[in-house]
Amino acid sequence: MGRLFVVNLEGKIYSCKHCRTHLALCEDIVSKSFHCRHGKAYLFSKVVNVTVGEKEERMMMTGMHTVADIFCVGCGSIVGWKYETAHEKNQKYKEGKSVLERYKVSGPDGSNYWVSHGAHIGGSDADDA
Amino acid sequence: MGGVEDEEPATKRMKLSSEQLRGLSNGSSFIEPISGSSSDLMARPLSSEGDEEVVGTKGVIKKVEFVRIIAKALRSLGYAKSCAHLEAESGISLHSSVVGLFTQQIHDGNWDESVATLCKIGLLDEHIVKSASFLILEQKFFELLDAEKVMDALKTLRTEIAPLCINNSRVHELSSCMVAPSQCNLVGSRSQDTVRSKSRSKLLEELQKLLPPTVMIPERRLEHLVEQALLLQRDACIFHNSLDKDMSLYADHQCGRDQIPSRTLQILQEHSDEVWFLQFSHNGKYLASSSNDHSAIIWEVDVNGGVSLKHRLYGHQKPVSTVSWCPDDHELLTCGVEENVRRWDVSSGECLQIYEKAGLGLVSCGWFPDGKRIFSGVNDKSISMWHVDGTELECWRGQKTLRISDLEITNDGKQIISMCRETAILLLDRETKVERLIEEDQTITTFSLSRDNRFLLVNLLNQEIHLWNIEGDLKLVAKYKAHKRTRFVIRSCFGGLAEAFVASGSEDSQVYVWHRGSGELLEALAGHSGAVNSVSWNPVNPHMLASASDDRTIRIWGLNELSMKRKDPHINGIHYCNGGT
Repeated sequence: MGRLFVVNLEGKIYSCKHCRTHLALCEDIVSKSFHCRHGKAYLFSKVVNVTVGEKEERMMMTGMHTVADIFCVGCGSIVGWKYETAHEKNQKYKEGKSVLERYKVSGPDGSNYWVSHGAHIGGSDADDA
Repeated sequence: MGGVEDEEPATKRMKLSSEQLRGLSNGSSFIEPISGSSSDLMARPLSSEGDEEVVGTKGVIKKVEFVRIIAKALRSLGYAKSCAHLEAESGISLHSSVVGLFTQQIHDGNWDESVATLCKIGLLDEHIVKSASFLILEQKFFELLDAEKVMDALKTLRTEIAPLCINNSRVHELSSCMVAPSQCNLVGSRSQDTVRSKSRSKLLEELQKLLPPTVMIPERRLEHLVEQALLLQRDACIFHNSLDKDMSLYADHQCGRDQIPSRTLQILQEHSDEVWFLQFSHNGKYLASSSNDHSAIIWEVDVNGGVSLKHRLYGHQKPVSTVSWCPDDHELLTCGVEENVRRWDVSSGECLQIYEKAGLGLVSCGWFPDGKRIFSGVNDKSISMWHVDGTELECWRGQKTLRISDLEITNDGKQIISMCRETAILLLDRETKVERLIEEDQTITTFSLSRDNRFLLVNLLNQEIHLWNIEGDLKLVAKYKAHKRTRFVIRSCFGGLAEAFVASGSEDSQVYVWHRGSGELLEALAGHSGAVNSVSWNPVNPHMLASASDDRTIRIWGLNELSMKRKDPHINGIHYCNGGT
């Protein structure tokens, strides 16, 4: 592959579990109470070094949204999704923000997260206001 | 697209030779002889209100004016007989006989008579008459001085020039001429020309400018109109990439797409891994490429445009991200990714010097315009400057140089252009310490400077390329879109004649070319089988473009020969053809 363009962050960084590419800063966390198939997920106001996939309509726990999956530029693995449009007024705050699955990233202290037994299995990615 | 909108056949407007005169009457309104003799003593405007005849389909060209400027052009070309013939046949006179007489008198140097005739030309207001008389008498004055008839000159000055009561400061200058003849040089005597008649022609020219054009048609009016049309056509031609002398009068100028390199002429397969960067030397004779295979290659461009390997530059232990040609093209810098910078001799391929900083990695490199100093971005956010011999000279801290950090310096050595924040580029004037910032909404990936240093091409994360004018106030002037960039460093460059085009690589393996002025996408060249990382347009040959790709090859693009006309032998780059693929 060509010469990767990566943005380097400073501070408390969440990075891709596989290739260590920086993805987001701790200070940009909007909410820690999101969920996905693999367990916890965090909503960030800003995420870097990701490519955005195709937009699609998805029914989440909080209603219908237009989302796109996001992938790490370094290794291509899926790391979460981005909210393009929310159809319900009280969900509009999510627009333009991205969710990173806790299972896919290494935390600022290098810690990883393992899927717990109580996580949802099957069904589409959920989220939580 | 392009060209001046005009349904009128080109032949109608561009008649300069007498044989084609007869064609004038074809198709347009029937010519009627103009009533009334034009050899009056009193000149009247020959394009009078009553004469409504027009030529051409748009109805904006008055026939009388058209014929007169043609007659004038004939005369300037030296075809006086044809001119007279035209006047007789059309019944339209170039100018009235009074003016003809006037012109003759000027040529012959009959100054007093010419001033008298001047008054007989109607339509002139008093001021013009006076100014023209002044010019004529001034000439008389100088010619008398040259003939050393000082007393006569003085008489002219006192009794003829001064009473006009205009341009008194000039009158003073003239009198000083008398006292100190050497002053004449400064005062600008027209008589300085060795051939007297030449200076009289100049006088006539100046008089023509003074008199209304209906009385005396300006010199070279037809040539001027034709040139204007040609220049308009050229400016409207978005593919324009050929020399002006290729422009013809027979058809509206419009470069076809065939003036833009669009065909692969050569595929260079000497790198063993992705090729990340390439650049032609300033003189267009060499090409340097750098690769993920830890090496760089210097290629030679021969007179026919063929590119061949000259030297392989081994030594770096890391992928080589960028190269930089020294101003006189004798040496080359290469930069290993977060490693060191090496200086090479182009003719021998030898590594002359290594520049590094203990514990740190260098990320970019460039030359100062004097060729004696080099600078480099360091991964601790500073920029270092070395003398060519290796002595470190200066270090600027505080610039946020990202890991992939472009660095440019202007040709006068005054401004350093570097990344400042993810979304901003800093232009620092080294002398005045004035800082200017280009700010974008998106992350900036790379940028490149135009040859004339007036523009900066900025590549953004969101697949747009922005063109900024960096002279004076920073202004965004154009945007280019269509190429693809999601993960890699993709570079763009200026190119073509007068850098009228912008080219870029793309992750979809194509080379994109836009017209710089209009932003219109002109070409998306397919051929590579991997992302195209970098492009470089030969600064000396507007028809040669090179591209570097993840498919480990470099492609040399040239003109599509099949649709090309005869080429000027001085423009090389199209003859080498190895079958295309």
